[in-house]
Parts: sequence; structure tokens; C-alpha cells
Amino acid sequence: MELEDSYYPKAQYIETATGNRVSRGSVLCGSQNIVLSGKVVVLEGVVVRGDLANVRVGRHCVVSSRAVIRPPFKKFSKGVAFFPLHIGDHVFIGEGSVVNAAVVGSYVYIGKNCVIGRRCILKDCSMVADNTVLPPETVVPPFAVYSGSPGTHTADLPESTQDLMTDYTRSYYHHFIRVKDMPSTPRESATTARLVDV
Amino acid sequence: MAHLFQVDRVKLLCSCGVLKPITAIYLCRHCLKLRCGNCVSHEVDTLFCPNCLENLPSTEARLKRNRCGSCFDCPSCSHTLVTRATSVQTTAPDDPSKTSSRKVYYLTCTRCRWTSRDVGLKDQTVASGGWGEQDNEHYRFLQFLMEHYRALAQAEKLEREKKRSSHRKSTYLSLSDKYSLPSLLGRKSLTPLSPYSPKGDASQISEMIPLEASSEVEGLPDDIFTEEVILSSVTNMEQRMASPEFQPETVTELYPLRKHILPKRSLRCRHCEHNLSKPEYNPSSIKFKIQLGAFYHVPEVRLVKSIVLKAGVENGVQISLCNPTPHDITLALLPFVPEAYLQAQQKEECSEGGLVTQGGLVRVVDIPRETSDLKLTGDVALPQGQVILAARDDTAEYDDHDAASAYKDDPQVVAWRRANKVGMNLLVTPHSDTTRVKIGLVLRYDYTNTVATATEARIVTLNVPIMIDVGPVSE
Repeated sequence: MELEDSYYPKAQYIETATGNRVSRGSVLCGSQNIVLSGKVVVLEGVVVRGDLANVRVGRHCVVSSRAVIRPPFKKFSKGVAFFPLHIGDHVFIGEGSVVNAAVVGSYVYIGKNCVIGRRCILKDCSMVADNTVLPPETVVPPFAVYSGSPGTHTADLPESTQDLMTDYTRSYYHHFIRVKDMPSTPRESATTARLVDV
Repeated sequence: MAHLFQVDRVKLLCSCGVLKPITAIYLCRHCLKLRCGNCVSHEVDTLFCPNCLENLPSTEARLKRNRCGSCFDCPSCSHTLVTRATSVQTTAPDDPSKTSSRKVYYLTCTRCRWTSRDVGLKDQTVASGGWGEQDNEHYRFLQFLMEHYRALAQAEKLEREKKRSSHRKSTYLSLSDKYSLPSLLGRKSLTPLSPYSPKGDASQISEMIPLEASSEVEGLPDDIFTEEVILSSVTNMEQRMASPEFQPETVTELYPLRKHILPKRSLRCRHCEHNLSKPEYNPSSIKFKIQLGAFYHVPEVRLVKSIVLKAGVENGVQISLCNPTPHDITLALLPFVPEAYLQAQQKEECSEGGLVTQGGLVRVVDIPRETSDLKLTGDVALPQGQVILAARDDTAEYDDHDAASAYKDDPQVVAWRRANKVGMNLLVTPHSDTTRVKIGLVLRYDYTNTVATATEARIVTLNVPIMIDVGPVSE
């Protein structure tokens, strides 16, 4: 199934020179510490905590609504230190997920309502299914699907994951179309909001 | 990855008769047939730990019973344990007034807060590798049994060989007699090469004392009826079964479990023994040395929109066809008749059946046949004629010029054209007694074979049967 077009009103999004589309309804704390490498889509309600540490997001990523990207911390004998958070290219982060990982590789799919614990490492071509809770310091190896609470290795991804994810994030960007005014579809946004609350 | 683009709505019929989404199908370039996970042989390429992502040679893995040497799982919740460091004050043995701080390490679970201190394990002075194995009281007995059976197997093998050689290799025997060479001696020198060779003395076979069955079993402890059961101190079934050789009954007996290692698999066609998929050696690499997935060699079919079909009338359904190869593809859609296809397949099997890797490198395991439901619940009117799919070009994304004008397409058939993709209109009529429409079609296309050793024509015509789950029907 091809992705369907979704529209965004020009007034509510900032489009940068590198093609990032960032909703004005998102919260980017410490924006001088946040790097979006290009063609990144940040939907409304997203929180990126650049004030804690550097956050770098690769090309063609999608951060869905109400996701939280938050650099992880580690307790030491003399207080707490925050670590920078790197996200690779072609990464999809689902609605309402909280990402505290240390590293998120490229071509990673994170589903809806996930909690990625502190200093987790998600390797390239891995997937975290919807509603998964990864305890702190979990390593998700390549081509593994983690699901459940606590997240465990439950399935494997096909060999073509890299190209599937590339295609998916690319077409998400291309089907995210700018319009002057939003066509009246308040019904649709209501349904997505309900999904997240569940 | 069925969720992305809902890949499982469109399924390809593998040569073994199973319907699978395109991501689970492979195209053998040598047999030019579709293969799936059920009809290829899976081989373990490398072994690695999913936590530290370190490679393990297969001999070492066997020695460590397929577990990682440095990573541990929590015995309580099976999450990975992490090493924590703390410093402890120690007094110098010669001068009690002097104290020095020393770093010690222990294991802790970040999920359930279990620590190695809970079960009274001593803290380690080194960060990794200090944790020993748990001693099993039956270890010596099991070792003894292994030795015994190894010796027994060796003796049996010798006997079998003797029997075989006595009526076949008579010339060898006469030769060895001629040079007064005891044949037994000759064989003995060979035995250390055999995997069944006994480590100890061969005379162990006779030393075996059979265990005696006893009718009396030790009674239950006296306090079992008087003592109150504290459930939090008793292990649950998962915790017990996580270490089958010890099966701890109380939480105080839990011991860190070494982490299971994972394989990297390569796939091999059972008919021609060529690799279909071979990953790179490095565990964290996602690249492949050989990658013959159908996703890269067969045009991908996708539904463009999800629609609800109306019963009894023709519905317009749009599909998209995508060319993943760097060559232009000419393709046509043909009707799919499941019965005729199955018959052709059976006939082919009869002619091919005896040929299947007899005495080859690969051991063929007989797997019960699996078949998919090929019942079509809708008729489809397919467009006539051929369509050319442009080659895949990664720079096309940055190209602005319109590719559609270069091809003379029939606007009735081709709805749109974008780089290496074409949108096509089909007319689907649902059958009267169905709630969900499944249509079938055969994709006939010209595949450019890039195998270096291909002696036949480089361009071959392939027929790929496809079933599409179009959607639900409304009255």
C-alpha cells in the first residue's frame, strides 16, 4: 500500500533551507544544540530536549506527534551527566514515544507509545514494536524486533529492511504536502489523538 | 516488516506453493525461480552476542554452550545485567590505622533491581570476566557418562568398519598381512582423528555400573506443612527453566545467566546450491555480500489506496508497479488460474524430484508440504499490452524533468508515471458470496540476468504469480 498524502498548512510549519519541516507546535528546547540534518519531519507536540545535551538527527527522519527525544543521563558519584543523543538516517519515531537512547542507528523503526530507556543502543535496521518498554541499557541488535514490556527479541526483520525504511521515510516526506490552508478534516486529527491516548 | 506499506496485502506465490510477501521471497538467479524461507537451506554463518556484538568462533561457541563469555542475563527477569562500580574502604593488613579505597564491581539489573549481592556473590575486582561458572554436583557423573558413550560409539564404529572391510577390502588385508602389519595397529593410529575417539582408556566400557532403581524416595522435609510459604522468596517457572541444569527453587539460589548468542544466517538454494543471501561477517554490519531478495529483482506491486469495494459491480483499483533493477523492464499482466498453475507445478516436481541434491553438500530435510489458500474471491479485468518500467535511478529524485513524456502510454491503462514507478488501473468485480476480495494475476516481465557465468540469454522472461488482498466489500 502506497502512503497517502497528508497536508500541512504553510503557516504552522517552518521549512528550513535543507528541507526540514518543523511544526510550530513542537517544543525544541536549547535549539542551538539540536541539529536536524535535512528533510526531517517534526510533527506537532514533539519535545526535543536540546538543553540537556546535543541532539543530532540524521537525514530523512520522521518524528511523529507527541514524541519526546531526550538525551540520557548517567549518575556518577559526583552528580549527574547527560550524554549526547545521535539518531541516524531514515529513522521513524512513532506517536507518543519517549526516546532516551544513547544511540539510535540508521533505518530504525520505533513504533507508537514506546519507552526507550536510558542509554539504550538501537543498532541499524532494528525495530521496536508499538507499546514496547525497553529497560535502560538494552542493546537491540541489527534485524531484530523487540516488543513487549520489558522488550524482548520476538521477531526478525527481512534483509531488505534498509531499502524499505529508506523508501518509507522518503515517501513520507514526499507525501507530506504543503497547502495554504488546511482542508477541513478535523475529524482525522481527532482520531489520531485518540489512538495515542490509548 | 509487514507494517511498512502493509507489504502483506500483496503476496507472491513461491515455487514451493506458499504465498509470501515480497520481503520474504528470494529469486534464485541460477534456477530463475522464486524461493522462500521454507524452501531454502539456512546455514549459520557467524555467531555473535546480541549485547556486546562480538563475534564468537563456532568452536568456542560450542565450548561455551552457545553463551557469551562476558554478558549476563538477570536470573530474575531475564533482562541484561550491567556492571556497576563502587569503591570500598579496606584496611591495610600491616597497619590497621591506614585505610585505602578500592574499586569493586558487581552486577545489577536495571529493570528489576536484582544485584549479584542479593545472592551473596562476592564483588569482583576486575570489571569483566571475573564471574565464575556455577558448579554442578552432577558434573563429574555426566562427564563420566559422556566418556563412556564416546568409547561405546568408537567401539561400534570400529566393529562396523571391520565388518565392511572384511568383505570388501580383502586386498588391503592381504597386503598388511604380507608386511606383517597388524591391521588393528594401523587403525589405532587413525583413531585420534575421529570425533568419537575416547579421551581416556577404552577399557572404561566395562567399568560402567548401572544405576539401581530404588522404591524408597526421600520424604518431604518436616517443616513443609508448618512453615509459612513466602511467595516472594520462591522462584517462578520462568526463573527455574532459565537455568535447566540447576532449577533453583528459592530466589537466594539465583545465579547470573550467561547470555545466549545469536546466529547470522546465510541462505542457500536447495536445488542449485548457490547462495541467496549472505551477510557480512561483522555482527553490527547491515550489508550483504550476496543479496538475492525478490525485493531487488522482481517489480514490486502495491495498492495505491485502500478502498471499500461495492458488491456486484466493477470497481476501479489502482496499483503501482516499481522497478528495483538498473535495467528497463517490459512487463505485462496476465490472468492467474490457480488450478492450472498447481498442475504445472506438480508436473515439474515429478521431473525435478529425483534431481534434488542427491549426495550434494546440503542435507535435504523432508519438510511436510505447506500450501496456501489460492482461492480467488474477485474477477479482475487486466489491461492488455505491455508497459515499460524505467530503470531505477537514484539521482531521479533530484531531477525535475518529466519522465512521462518519453514513453507513449495508453492513458486508459497507465494512470501516472514517476521515475521507476507506474500507476495502473484495474477493474475488479467481487464475487457474490465474499466479504474480502482477493484477486490474482501473473506478472510477466523481462528480467536482465547479471550472473557472470550465465551462458543462456541475459534477458529472460519470468512469470510471477501474485495475489492481492484488495480490501473489504460493502453491500
